[in-house]
Amino acid sequence: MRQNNTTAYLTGLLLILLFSFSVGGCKDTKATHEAGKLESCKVAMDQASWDTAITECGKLTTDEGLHLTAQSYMARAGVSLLDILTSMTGGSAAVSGLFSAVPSTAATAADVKLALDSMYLMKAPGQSVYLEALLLSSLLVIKELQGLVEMQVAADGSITHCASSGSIDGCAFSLSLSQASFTAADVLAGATVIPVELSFTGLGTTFYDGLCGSSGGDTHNTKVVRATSNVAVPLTSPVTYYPIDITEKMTINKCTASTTSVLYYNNWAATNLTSTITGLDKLNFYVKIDTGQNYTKTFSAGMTTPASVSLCNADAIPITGAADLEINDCEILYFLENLNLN
Amino acid sequence: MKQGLILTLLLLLYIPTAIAGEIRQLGQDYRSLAMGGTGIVTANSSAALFYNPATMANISTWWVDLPMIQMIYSDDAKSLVDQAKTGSFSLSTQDEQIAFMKSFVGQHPYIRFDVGANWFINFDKKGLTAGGNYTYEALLDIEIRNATMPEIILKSGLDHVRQVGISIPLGLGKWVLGVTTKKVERQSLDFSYSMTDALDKKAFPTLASAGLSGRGNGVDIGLLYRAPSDLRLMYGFVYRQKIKLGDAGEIPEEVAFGVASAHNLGIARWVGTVDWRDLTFKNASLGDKSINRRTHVGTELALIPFSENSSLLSLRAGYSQGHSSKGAELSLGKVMVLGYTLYSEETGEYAGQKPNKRTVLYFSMGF
Repeated sequence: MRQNNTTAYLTGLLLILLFSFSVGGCKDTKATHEAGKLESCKVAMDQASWDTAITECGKLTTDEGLHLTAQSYMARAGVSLLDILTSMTGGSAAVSGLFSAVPSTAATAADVKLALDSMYLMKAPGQSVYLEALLLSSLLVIKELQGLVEMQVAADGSITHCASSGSIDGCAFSLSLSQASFTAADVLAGATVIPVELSFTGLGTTFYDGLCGSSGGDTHNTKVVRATSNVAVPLTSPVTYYPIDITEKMTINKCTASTTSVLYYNNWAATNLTSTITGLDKLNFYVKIDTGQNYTKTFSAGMTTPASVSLCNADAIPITGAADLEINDCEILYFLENLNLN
Repeated sequence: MKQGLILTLLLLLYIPTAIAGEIRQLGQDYRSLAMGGTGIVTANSSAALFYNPATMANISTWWVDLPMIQMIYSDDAKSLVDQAKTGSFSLSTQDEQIAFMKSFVGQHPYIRFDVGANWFINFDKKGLTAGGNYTYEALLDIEIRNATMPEIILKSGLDHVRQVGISIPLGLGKWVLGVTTKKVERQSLDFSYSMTDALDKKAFPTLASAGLSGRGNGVDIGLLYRAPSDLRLMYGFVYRQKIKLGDAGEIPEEVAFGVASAHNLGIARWVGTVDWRDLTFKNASLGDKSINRRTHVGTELALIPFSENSSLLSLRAGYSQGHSSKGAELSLGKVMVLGYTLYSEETGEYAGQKPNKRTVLYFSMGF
């Protein structure tokens, strides 16, 4: 009888210990299985706790997890796909609907870029991912264009920029000769030519850093292009005119679009997106930029016949090829003069 | 034109979300929920058959509940109802549907309504008891998820459960064998309703239009061991057979174990218990083997007992899957029982991850 009671009390003690352990340790501190990790991510997204969502979703390596990570970065950047889509009305105002979502700070732009990085890691992205990637990469391209060519949306919804007229003359980086009119006094002493300089200091590195993730530049100061002035050489019959030697002093900025760059993602998304929705083709910036087309400027003031000067030249700074992921100022200036997002 | 474009774009973007989380069990009642979801050993009320048929040996009298009414609702359901009461709530237009999804993101309205009848008859003090339930259980469980692209995840259903069981004492009554046979008819509806659907002006699916139905039978086999000592320790075990419900899915099998101690203290009666449910890990997501998620702890202090199954006032507390619970019951024998429970159900994937705070109201009349 005594033995029975002892056993019972020991069992009771064990039960009490078990109770204590159970009550104190009945809570898990983290997910240990995939569904649990996914749920942690979703719970944070439900609560709009974006920092937590990024951390939790970032632990997932599945396509769904990567997609949710991307959506969390988007949300932290203040980019609402729903708002973008509801503001994209098709027709002339399609792209203008994106402008309200363009990241306004470096931090938000970085989040949008991280969203793209996450999407690109997906093994089997669907059309939804390509559409999101196209929209997000376009936001970052537009952000860079806003800084470069003062792109903005007018009151009527049309998109304008400093090259809207079809010429970059209205832009801060426009090219001009060192002088626009000539007289006999400009003729170089002891020679029979008017020396002129055409300087271009490049579009800068910020733009390329934003698009390609890196930037560089080439310089060439000796290439000369001959033109003809409207200053007549005295006592010539028939009348001849002093030549003009235009010495190009060029710094051409450039970049190579890496596989984790905004432009690369833009091309990746546009290439894989099979949607035929009107207007989305305007967002295929990579194809519009990496054309291999040169920028040529024609000067006519003070000239007998207009002189065309190409910014890139095979014997100086060569133009880069089409669709080779190499971008430089020559392609960009050509792109800008032909840029129409309306 | 604009709507068409948006819809096309959203159709591209929409990825349906699966329903996850809650381990759903038939017949959870106010008493057990207040005691942390326990009942494998200590069930002694009208829900005993849902937990362990052998626990009918805890019943020392007889009664009939007619009717039994129980309502469970979450705090978020209350806020939804409150908004509806103002008259401003409507989901009839596309804009209203979108606004609802945006404003209710992260909320989890849950409403369950049970109505039925129960009967139990004890034949001898060793624990020979027979009983049965006839229960309708209606469920509406809504989650609004993903603040970046909100969607409604809805689970609703109507279960009709008929079960009878018997507990049979073995030998001198230290061991009790219990058996339940049950028939379940289910109509269920699971779907996600996204922004895309709202823009597409797609009607909410209903049980009538998109519900799945099925019926199936199952057997529960339970054991109870009542140790003959001053501590009145009891151990319980139950095996619940899987019930295949055809198109309406299935109710997974379950193996559960519990231990409890119960004491009569004159004008009071105290019970403490620990249960471990779903020990074969069939009721949760793949890979979820958290013991904490399957651990349930509960206690009850019953004051002024009328019998082993009924006291004037019962106070309860518990801890289940990382969340505490509490409840009270006022009982006039079995003539009228009023129960009130506050608990949190784990609706995430591990103990303590995503509680859904719920209230249980219980009322039964009988004789």
